[in-house]
Amino acid sequence: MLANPFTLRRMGILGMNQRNVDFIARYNDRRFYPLVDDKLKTKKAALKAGISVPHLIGVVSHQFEIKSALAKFQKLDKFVIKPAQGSGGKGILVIVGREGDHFLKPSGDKISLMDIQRHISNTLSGLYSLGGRNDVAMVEDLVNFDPRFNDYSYQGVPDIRVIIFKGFPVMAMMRCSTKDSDGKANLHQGAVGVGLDISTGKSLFAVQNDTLVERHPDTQKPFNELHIPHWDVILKLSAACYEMTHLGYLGADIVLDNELGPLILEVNARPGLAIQIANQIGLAHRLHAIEALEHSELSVDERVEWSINQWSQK
Amino acid sequence: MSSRAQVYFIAFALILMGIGMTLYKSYEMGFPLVKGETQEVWTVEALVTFKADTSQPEAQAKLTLPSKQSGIVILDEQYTTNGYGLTTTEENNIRQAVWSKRDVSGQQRLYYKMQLTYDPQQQSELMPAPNPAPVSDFDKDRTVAAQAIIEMAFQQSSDTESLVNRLIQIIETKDLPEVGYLLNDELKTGSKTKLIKNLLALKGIDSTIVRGVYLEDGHRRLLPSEILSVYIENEWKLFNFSSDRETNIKNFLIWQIGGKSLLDVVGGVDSEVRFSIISNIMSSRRVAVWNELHTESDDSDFTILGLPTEQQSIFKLILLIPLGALVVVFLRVLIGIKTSGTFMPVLIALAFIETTLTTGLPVFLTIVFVGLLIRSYLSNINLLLVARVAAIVVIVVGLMGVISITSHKLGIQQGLTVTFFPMIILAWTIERMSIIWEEEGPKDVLVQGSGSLIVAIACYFVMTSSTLKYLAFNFPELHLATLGFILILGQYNGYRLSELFRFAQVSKSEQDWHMPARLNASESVSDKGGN
Repeated sequence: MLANPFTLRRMGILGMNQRNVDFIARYNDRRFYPLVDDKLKTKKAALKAGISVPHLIGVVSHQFEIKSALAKFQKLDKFVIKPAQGSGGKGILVIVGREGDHFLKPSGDKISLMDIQRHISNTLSGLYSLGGRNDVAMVEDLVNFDPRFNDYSYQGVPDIRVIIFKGFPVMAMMRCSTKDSDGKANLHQGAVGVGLDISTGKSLFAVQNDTLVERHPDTQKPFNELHIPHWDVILKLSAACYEMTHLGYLGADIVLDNELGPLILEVNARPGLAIQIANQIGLAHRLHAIEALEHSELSVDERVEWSINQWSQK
Repeated sequence: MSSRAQVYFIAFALILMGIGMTLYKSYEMGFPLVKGETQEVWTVEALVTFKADTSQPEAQAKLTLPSKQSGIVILDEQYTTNGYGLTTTEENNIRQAVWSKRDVSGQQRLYYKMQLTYDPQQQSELMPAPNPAPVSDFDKDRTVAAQAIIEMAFQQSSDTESLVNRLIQIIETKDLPEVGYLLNDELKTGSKTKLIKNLLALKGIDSTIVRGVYLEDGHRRLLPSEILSVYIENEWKLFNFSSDRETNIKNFLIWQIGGKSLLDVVGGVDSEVRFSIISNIMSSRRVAVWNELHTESDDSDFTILGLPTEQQSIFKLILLIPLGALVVVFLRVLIGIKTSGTFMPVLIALAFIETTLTTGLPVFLTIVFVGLLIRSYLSNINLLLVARVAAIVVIVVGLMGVISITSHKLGIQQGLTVTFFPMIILAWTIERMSIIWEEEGPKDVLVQGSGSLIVAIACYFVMTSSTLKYLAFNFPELHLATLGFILILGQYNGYRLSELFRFAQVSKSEQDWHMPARLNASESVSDKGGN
């Protein structure tokens, strides 16, 4: 089955070439990429800009620091270790509890302090980083996921992706990991994308492998009841990433913490196009509408309000 | 001017310039645009190298030069002097170039270059008068062994020609124990050719050693080949000696006849002469004019044809790379084929050109497949990335050895072409594939790996097309147009073919605007109703 390119153009579906030429190349200055490619830098910038992120417990940057860091782990129950420059969720170690001297993983497996030491050592020598570069290990508080989302995801963590153009929220979706995607929230590996109404945070469509689905393939939870809480906060948080990163076209990844509310996990300078399938709407018309604005130097609140009014379904 | 308009302006200027220059060259300078009405012109370059002798400052190099030969016309000759005094001498039909200099030190390089073309009408007799009573220079002990060989060959042949052929066969395959004995001794002082010459002399047949080069396009740094000319029934006949060369004897350019050495260097050590050969296409008209005037045309001085022959044959390959690059850009931007690494497909295609596709592809797939299998084990034992890639390089070397040896044992010559695969391309392919495997999973390895191969094969066909090869080398200005097209493709912001498949479902939802798949259907229908 082949789409008519003129139909796609009329619907405003953004293609890869147009995204690269007209948006990423034009609005994203390459010198700002390092900030988003390194999660530690992103986190520091976010803290400076007053954007909520998961609490950073500490950073291990050298092999000789591992020993003293391990002493601190003895006192912790829940934490996450991640490589600052890791990609695709590689090298993320989640500890959800303790059993005596052992640490518990979400799957119920027990690991020892030695295992953690080896994991950090591997992280520092670049085992999980793009191209094997030397890296640093970040230790963060474990995000307490909103239990309402439990059934929307298989093993992994559902996160919310919001596309921000020149600081305006443009489109959003929730990404739910599945058995196929191996617990990763990556759409092209088989995760489900649920399109979200940008003005309300209610689900629109759900898509897996570029085809529409109605229920989560593993948990059978129907997606039509999904309504993301704190929607206004989410939009403001992601819109504020524009000032923080100076990137004109970006994708903000957000998780919902039970107590802390929405937190920015990371920012992506080259967000994918599958969000259009999950929303059954093209990005191009919305992006052009923002390009056509005469006064785009608005505050975060004004921009969010503009987007909500502009694309309200009512 | 907006940036897009600028790009279009530059791109169209480049395209016009490229095509314009090509047309000018074709119509005004007589380079034919298509291969018809053309003649093959061979450029043969002899490079003499030697190290100056430290004990004496002056040096002299004498190089024997080829004379007129039946079927071949020499169009032009050039020498480099590099501060040397140059004289050419002709004596008994033997031409020689003599370079001499008072004060030399270090490594010396001297060039002699000639252009020639085939001409069936050309007749010339350059062979010496035959010696009616040739003598062999075997000593007493060896004569017995030699007699045994020649008698056996004589028994197994019917005339002189078949005798020579049989003799060559015996020497090549070492059928007789005597051959090994003679050859070991003989090779210390001479060659197989000399051995046959001596054996034939025992039967009173005169023969002479001929040195020269085979005219084969793109050969570089060749040592001179030796063949044998045998006097049979009042005629000199050439015999192609080495059995592994299937080359037509007609392509043999005779450089020197008889036992004298090709190169004599006084005042230098480690002297050597090597040949580079390249073929160009020129219009017959141009060749004819050239042949008559016997002067070098000036207008080719600032072209690639003015470069040394060795560099020219490298350029023949380099000038194909822009075409490969254009294919990659086209397939990625317009079709949307995913490849791993932007120009890795071009590099793979270059390797295929060396090996030919039919043998290169299976060998490539085997090595990459086995390399990936081993890599997956290596990643299980938690090696660091650098160590892992280094380990893969070692394993690839081993695999290449295994493939070469087994195919040689099985008698499959093609397997040996594995050595043409640049190591770096294989190791890099495996490394990239393993990184993709780890970061995006095996499905992506398959998608991007097969994508890369498809693009590589497309590049291979474009880069081996004889028309495009001809145009790329003879009209390098056309690459300005290639650059222009690449710039235009870089501005293309329309859909890729693959995206028409990807977004097919979305476009259908527009056609039936009710959006049946909408999750919260009741709400949306009422919404639509209120619109």
